[in-house]
Amino acid sequence: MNDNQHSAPVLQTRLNELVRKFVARTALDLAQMREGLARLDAGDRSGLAQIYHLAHRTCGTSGTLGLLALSDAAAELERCIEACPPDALPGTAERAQIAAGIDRISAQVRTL
Amino acid sequence: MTRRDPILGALAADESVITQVQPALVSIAPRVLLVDDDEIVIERLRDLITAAGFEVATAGNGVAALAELKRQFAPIVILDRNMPGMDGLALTRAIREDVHYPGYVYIMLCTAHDSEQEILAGLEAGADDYLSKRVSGPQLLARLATARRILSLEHSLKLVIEERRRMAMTDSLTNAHNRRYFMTHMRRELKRARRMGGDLSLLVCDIDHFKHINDRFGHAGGDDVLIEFVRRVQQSLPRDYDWCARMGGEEFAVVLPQTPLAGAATVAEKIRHAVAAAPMLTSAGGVDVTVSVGVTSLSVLNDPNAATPELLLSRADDCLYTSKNHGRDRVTLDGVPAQAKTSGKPLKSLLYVDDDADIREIVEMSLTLDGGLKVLTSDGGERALLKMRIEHPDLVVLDVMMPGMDGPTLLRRMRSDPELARIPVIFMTAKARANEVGRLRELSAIGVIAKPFDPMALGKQVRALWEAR
Repeated sequence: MNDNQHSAPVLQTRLNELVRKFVARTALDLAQMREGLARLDAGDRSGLAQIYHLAHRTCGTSGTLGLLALSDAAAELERCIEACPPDALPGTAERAQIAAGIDRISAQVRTL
Repeated sequence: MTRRDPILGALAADESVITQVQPALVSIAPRVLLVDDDEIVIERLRDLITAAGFEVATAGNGVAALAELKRQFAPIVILDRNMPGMDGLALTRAIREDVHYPGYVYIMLCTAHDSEQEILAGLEAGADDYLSKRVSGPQLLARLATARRILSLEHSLKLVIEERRRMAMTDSLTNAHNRRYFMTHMRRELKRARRMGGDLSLLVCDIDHFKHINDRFGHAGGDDVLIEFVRRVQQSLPRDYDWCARMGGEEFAVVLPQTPLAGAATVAEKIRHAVAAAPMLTSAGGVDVTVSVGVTSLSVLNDPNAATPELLLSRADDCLYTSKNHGRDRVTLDGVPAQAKTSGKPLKSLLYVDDDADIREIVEMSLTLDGGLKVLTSDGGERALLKMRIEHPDLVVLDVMMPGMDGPTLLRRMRSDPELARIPVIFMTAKARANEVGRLRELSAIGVIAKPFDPMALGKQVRALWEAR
């Protein structure tokens, strides 16, 4: 039980460390998402799957760390991609929504 | 449910047992296995769960999780729904299909979204609970407490089942194993002996004249004797893999793994001596107890590979009956002729029946010279029979010529009374002519002593006839 009394500040310190680690990783993930967007613009539909995978991971991890606004932004990007036609490249409007979704995640990360 | 476990069936039917099952918390918090491909998620959950006092193990994918469960079991698994390779649903199914885990695995499936479709798929795959990745620390710990309560219930049920199983295999009076235990475990012993080589011996022990003990000391006294008998048998078995089972009534089996016939004979004699060494104390007084034993071993069978518990029991039983027919209180080995009678029990008490008070006095004095012999007397008739029933003397010496009921008549009365039928008889007669002696011996007397007798030699004469009976 003593451990638990001590653990609250220790847990908070650990959580801060994990958030820093997550921010660093998400910066790389955002670069990967933009690279996926460029591949999409070049006509390679696999860029879409790359963005979806990274958005999903960001959604789950940020949720676990209690970063709910960021988690919501990532979930919204996931839903955008799910709404795209399954076998064709996204249209102009859909492409713009995906780019905006990546920007919203980026904006949320900068608040951390 | 088509196939009912007899013990679980009884358990469900017995409400008193159900109420005994208190989900008392297992004192040590159970080990939790975290499975996620995202190390940041793993680290955060590990921090929270470790702070709550749980031991935590981790795995980065489904295959690693199965390997970790095999290496060291964890009754709680928290796993991610989405993982590359084997995903959370496949891992859940793999855990549920494996029946070799030491206990139930409580599975909590964790996903990024709370879509109903995902929740249903997870529960259908066999998960017990569902967690959102956005779960708060307090909620996560509350759900772990639920997991722990379920596991404690499982633990308590297992203890009750284990106790029931033990009781179903134990004789409640003596705490020895029972016949059911004997049948199942004897089969195992036979398999083990076949696999490892080496011998296996079986003793069947039957308490002599147990009915007399019950008649004389009551059933409570008989129970005391059974309990003390088992205690003495168990003291005679120093190896912790030898065991004893009550087969019913006053019959017991002793199983000696890795023991040939000669070793089993030594143990059987040790048991026989331990039983006869001192009277057994009952609430109704001390009682002298003896035991007859039959011994068999795998190696004396023509085909040891064909041995079954039933076959060994029947062979040991045959030997036991040989012991009984040769005067009891002895050991008979399978394939070895019955032991010489010198191993019989010593003569301790004797009733002398004669209508002549002077001769009774002389006989009593001369036999009392023989230390350790309790001498009783009677003047004959019904009083003599009554005294036999009360005192149970080892031996009766009858005068042939008596008014009213003569010696041969008394003997016939004894033989028709199950309680007295087995007491050996010696005749004393003044008309010890050859044809008379022959006629008396035909009446199942073990000997005839002529009158007048030598008072100084009478004890020796009686003992010689006793030993040679």
